[in-house]
Amino acid sequence: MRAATPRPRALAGAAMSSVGLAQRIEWIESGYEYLLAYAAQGRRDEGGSKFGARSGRCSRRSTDSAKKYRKFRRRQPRHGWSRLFRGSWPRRSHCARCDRPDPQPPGDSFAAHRQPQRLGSISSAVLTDLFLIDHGTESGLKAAHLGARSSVIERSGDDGVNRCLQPIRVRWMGARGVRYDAAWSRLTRLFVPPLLDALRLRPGAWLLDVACGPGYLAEAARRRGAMAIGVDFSPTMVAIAARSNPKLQFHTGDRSGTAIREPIVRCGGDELRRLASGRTGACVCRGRTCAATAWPLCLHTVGGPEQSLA
Amino acid sequence: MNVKLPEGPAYFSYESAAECSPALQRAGFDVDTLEFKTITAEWAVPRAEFVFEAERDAGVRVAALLAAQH
Repeated sequence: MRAATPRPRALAGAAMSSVGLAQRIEWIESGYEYLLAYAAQGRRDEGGSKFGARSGRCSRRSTDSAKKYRKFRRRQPRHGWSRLFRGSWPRRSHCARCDRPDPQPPGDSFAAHRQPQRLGSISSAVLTDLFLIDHGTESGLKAAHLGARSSVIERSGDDGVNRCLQPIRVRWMGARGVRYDAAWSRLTRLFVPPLLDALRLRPGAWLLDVACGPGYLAEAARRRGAMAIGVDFSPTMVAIAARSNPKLQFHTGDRSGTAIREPIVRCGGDELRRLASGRTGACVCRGRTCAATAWPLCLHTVGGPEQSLA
Repeated sequence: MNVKLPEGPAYFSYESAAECSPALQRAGFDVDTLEFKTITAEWAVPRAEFVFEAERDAGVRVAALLAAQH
């Protein structure tokens, strides 16, 4: 653990947790090495890194990046966490490490959403609450585990903060996108037909699939004769969707607050919260048929009755 | 860890129409046009550990929570 970590500025109005900052940063380091790599990326944006070039879109990561970053931090203690997380998030057409092409198709209509996003004054006090920030979906129990206040959860549900942290979420999904597809596809596909039925999707209709993930719903919509466009914040998910459905359009980005032409909108589960919060609902869904899923608490049954432990 | 915290939002909020409908109405949706359906599905997993491993290795938010407790 670093003993001399500078205390960062807290987000304006956000109360600091009663848990010590050093302890929370230790939690990050134990579980979220990608954050360290991201911090190194931000540092490099400010004046050059010691690590060599990286791409923000590449899911491949040096296994010792966290170790390198700690060594780098020890050598340059004058840079606080809050400063490390400032800076723009560069967009490149190719990954400098593995030379993979950018999965984003050229000339797409969502170019405005791909502009470098400035992290502004987001401090580590907020970054430690990264997964509480995701539309405020976490419970008070989780808040207690991560040492964050519920007031922080509410405030950090703001779309502006979400946009600032979008690159970090993209990194997280970049590392887990393929496994997500393998682990959850059987479950999430079960709800695709009822969702399309709820939308009363007819052949020839245009469907916008927001938070499309691996593109299950867009694929099913195409089989019903509809025209589907998928959009997701994760380039990894978009790449999987595009690979599985080469005839459909998938884009990386966010449709919040933009005018859309598709008369039918389907939103991923988290998007429902954004709709209900009033931040995106009015401008995105006015006059359109919109469907979303909200996952309730449910029980998973493993095996038949004969295999029951009881 | 004993941390005194106020109550946070429910993890599965909006799962019920009674909770979701007023929120959507406040957001500008016409409440008369809202429909809510409960879909029950059976997810057959290969083994009991699969659910936990899926959350741990392939999830996003829950995976982060588990990693933080590691």
